[in-house]
Amino acid sequence: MPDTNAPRLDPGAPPITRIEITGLAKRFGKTVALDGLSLTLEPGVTGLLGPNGAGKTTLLRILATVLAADAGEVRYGGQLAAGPEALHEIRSELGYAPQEPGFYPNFTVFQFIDYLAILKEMTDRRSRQDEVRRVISLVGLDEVAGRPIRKLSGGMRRRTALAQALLGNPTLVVLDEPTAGLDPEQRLRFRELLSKRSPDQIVLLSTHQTEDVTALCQQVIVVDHGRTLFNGAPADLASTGAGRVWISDHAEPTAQLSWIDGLGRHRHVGEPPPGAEITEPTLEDGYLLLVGRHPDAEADGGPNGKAA
Amino acid sequence: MELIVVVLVVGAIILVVRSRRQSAGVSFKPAGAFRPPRDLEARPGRGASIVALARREGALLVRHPAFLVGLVLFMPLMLLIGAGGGGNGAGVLSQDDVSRTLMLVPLGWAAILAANLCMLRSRRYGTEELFGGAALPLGSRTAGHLLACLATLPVSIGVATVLVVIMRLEGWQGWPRIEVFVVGPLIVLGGAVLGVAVARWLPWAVFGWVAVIATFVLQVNLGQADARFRWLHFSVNGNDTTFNLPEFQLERHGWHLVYLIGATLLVAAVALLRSPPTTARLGLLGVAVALVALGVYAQVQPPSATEAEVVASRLESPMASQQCVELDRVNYCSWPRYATWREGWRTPVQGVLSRVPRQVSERPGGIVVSQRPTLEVRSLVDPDLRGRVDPRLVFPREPVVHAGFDWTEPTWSNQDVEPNRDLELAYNTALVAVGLPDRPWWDESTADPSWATRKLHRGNGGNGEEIVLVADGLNTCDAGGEARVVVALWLAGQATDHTRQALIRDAGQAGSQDGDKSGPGVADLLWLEEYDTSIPPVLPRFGTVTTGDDVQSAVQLLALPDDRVAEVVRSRWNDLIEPSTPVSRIFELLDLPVPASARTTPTGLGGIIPPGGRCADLPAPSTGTP
Repeated sequence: MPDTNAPRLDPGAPPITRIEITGLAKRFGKTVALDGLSLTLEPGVTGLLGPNGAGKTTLLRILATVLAADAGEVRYGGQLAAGPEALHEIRSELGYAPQEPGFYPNFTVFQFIDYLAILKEMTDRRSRQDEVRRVISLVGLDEVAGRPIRKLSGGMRRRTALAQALLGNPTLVVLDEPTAGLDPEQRLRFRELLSKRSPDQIVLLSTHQTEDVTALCQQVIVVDHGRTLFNGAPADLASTGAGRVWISDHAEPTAQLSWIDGLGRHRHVGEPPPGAEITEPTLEDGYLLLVGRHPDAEADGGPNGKAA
Repeated sequence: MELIVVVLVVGAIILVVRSRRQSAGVSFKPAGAFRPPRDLEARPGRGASIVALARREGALLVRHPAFLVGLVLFMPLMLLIGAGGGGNGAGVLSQDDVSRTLMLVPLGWAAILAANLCMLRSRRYGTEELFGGAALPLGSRTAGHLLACLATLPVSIGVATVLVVIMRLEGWQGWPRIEVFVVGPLIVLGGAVLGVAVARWLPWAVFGWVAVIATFVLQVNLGQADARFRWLHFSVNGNDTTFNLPEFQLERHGWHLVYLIGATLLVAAVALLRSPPTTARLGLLGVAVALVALGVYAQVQPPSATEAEVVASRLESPMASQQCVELDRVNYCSWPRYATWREGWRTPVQGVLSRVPRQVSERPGGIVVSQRPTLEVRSLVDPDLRGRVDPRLVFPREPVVHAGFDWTEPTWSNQDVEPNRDLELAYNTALVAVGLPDRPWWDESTADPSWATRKLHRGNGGNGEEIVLVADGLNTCDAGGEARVVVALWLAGQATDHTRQALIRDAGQAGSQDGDKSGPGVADLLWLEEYDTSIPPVLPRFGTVTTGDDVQSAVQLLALPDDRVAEVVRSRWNDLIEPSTPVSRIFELLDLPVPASARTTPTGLGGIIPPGGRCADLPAPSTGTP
């Protein structure tokens, strides 16, 4: 992705410059996954936050054109994902790493990514293999490129999935929890990788790591129960907690959420009592105030859960 | 059946290993694998993309364990079976090439399983969601997998070529017909395509096995109702063509190729139409249906006038289309593809003729040894053609030594078979020499124009009755107790070392089954064991039947010095070939005590093959005996 000279997947396909999502709805039986969700994605990195079951993966699948919405529409640079021709054009500009991508265990890393490159219609063998080597290098898997995937750690597999999503420098990159299972060094490397992206790329990643969003994203979207709770800059999300985060030396039963920080003091979010020691809010604070739960909590785990 | 058992066992092993790997946590399929819905298929990918995928999948297909198991486990066995029977230059590749295509069927089964598992790989490992976001849609991936099936062709052509090379090294003559040769590789290709199609429509690995069994059942059962439908087999070789007599069969191998190609394309189109139909996919379906329809129509058509004329001529006037060569004043005639056999016939024939008086071996017009249709031809000839041929001309009584088509047969070892083939020809020569018919002939009195077989009931040692199929309208005669039939048996036995061993070895089997050698017995030296009525059908192979006692008498003569017997045979020839001369007369002329087996009067007991009149009552054939 950082290499703007990398071959495009399909030079004939129009680049996706903007994603417009309007009234997107999706149900699975009685469960509402998306409930009239609307938002816009511009070039840059957008973080998607929300508790488990909030509808993040469903949204990403619809964006990746592997799932159809019940209602609403998604416009990829003005184009709807309607019909085989449009689907082909959109997928030609898409890099997608699902949350659980599945692997061919007996393939080596190189073989697997090369196979994906074929599926992405990179037909010239020489340039395709150059591109495969490039993305393998990007995710730092050069040394294990010839190793069967069955012998890789979970983190390495996650990077393998990431590498294939970067094939061909797609204009739309959809990553579902790309940093899950990565160790701190790998996460830093991932951030470095995304920071070098092309300026015209739209990257949407879902994550439970608010630090990643803070570090990477120009835009953050918080979804819960299939609806958009927030759509704006990370700083704006953090600023929603202004005056609503305080610290004390004791527990506060009236706080929406409380926990003990690394200094042994109690940190609270919610409506502070008079005279409370107000502190600078973080993006996580803003998120917690918005959702009322930690990003790792279940969507239906009950509102206003307490984090100790 | 054995192959099915092996295939099932191998499959069970694979399933057990797989389940153990999964239970050990080695499964790579995500717990909640997501599969994109089929209605989100993008337009088909570029041809170059499909070809690139096909290259990759082709390499994976031919290295797939299932395919390798088929190659390593079955092919050596098939090569061993397929290459047998050609020793001494007696096997003719262009005669047996049809049956050799069957040797590749196990590889075709392996191809079904391998291609099926390759197509199911993405489902098995839960990569459908990942692949779903790629530009190449499932339909195009299917096309890639279908094209990848072509990778089996170099392998199967290689195997078929190795088979031919081994057969040539084993002494087989000639070359397989190219239109027949390619059927084997096409079957393997078709198997792989079927595996892909099954994976698309029934995406569970068990259905790959179901497809294997289904193809086996179809191969065995298609066309049982009508011989002409045998062409609808994948390999045209059906039960009724065990004896390959290409001279008398309609040669429609070209159309069979069209049929096979059409069927393969049809299966491919069915696989592709699991994805949304496109003009190309529907076009492929149309072409495939047209090819299959054309192939079926052309294959099952009655013989054309030209075809009928050619085959009828071969049946009614065989020598008109045969090539002849004169060796030692004997004319050996065969159809062209069996040219190398003529030299091979010379040894047993000369072994007999060297012991008979010169007036017999050097008769005016000479001795003629010629290929004639064997009885099996009745079930091979197209039904329409059968009605147009005059059986009196196909099975006449004629003073010609009849040579068959199965001088050799594929077996595990030629050792037990070839001597019998020599013995058959030597016996035929000797029968003709002594004035007895060497093969059944058409009898108007019992004739059925349809050449139908007749079901007879025959006791089986108190174990109930068994049905024996007998060729209706074909006559034999019984020479039991006649000296000339024992002379003929002795002449045949002493002809070569092989014939001597074979006659002595098989003599114990001659006669009725309850051990009473005096009963109606041997009519067929070659297939003695088939007189066990549990192995129907029994068709007469020789025109003269005799008793087990007579065979025993001949064996006793073989124990004497050949020259001593030959001298008596030559000097008392006219006496010995007189129908009324009993077997005992031979021993009297040799100044030996008459053994219990030697009849003192010709019995003409009536062979087991009706109507079984006495040979002594037969008029001589119209053209006289040699």
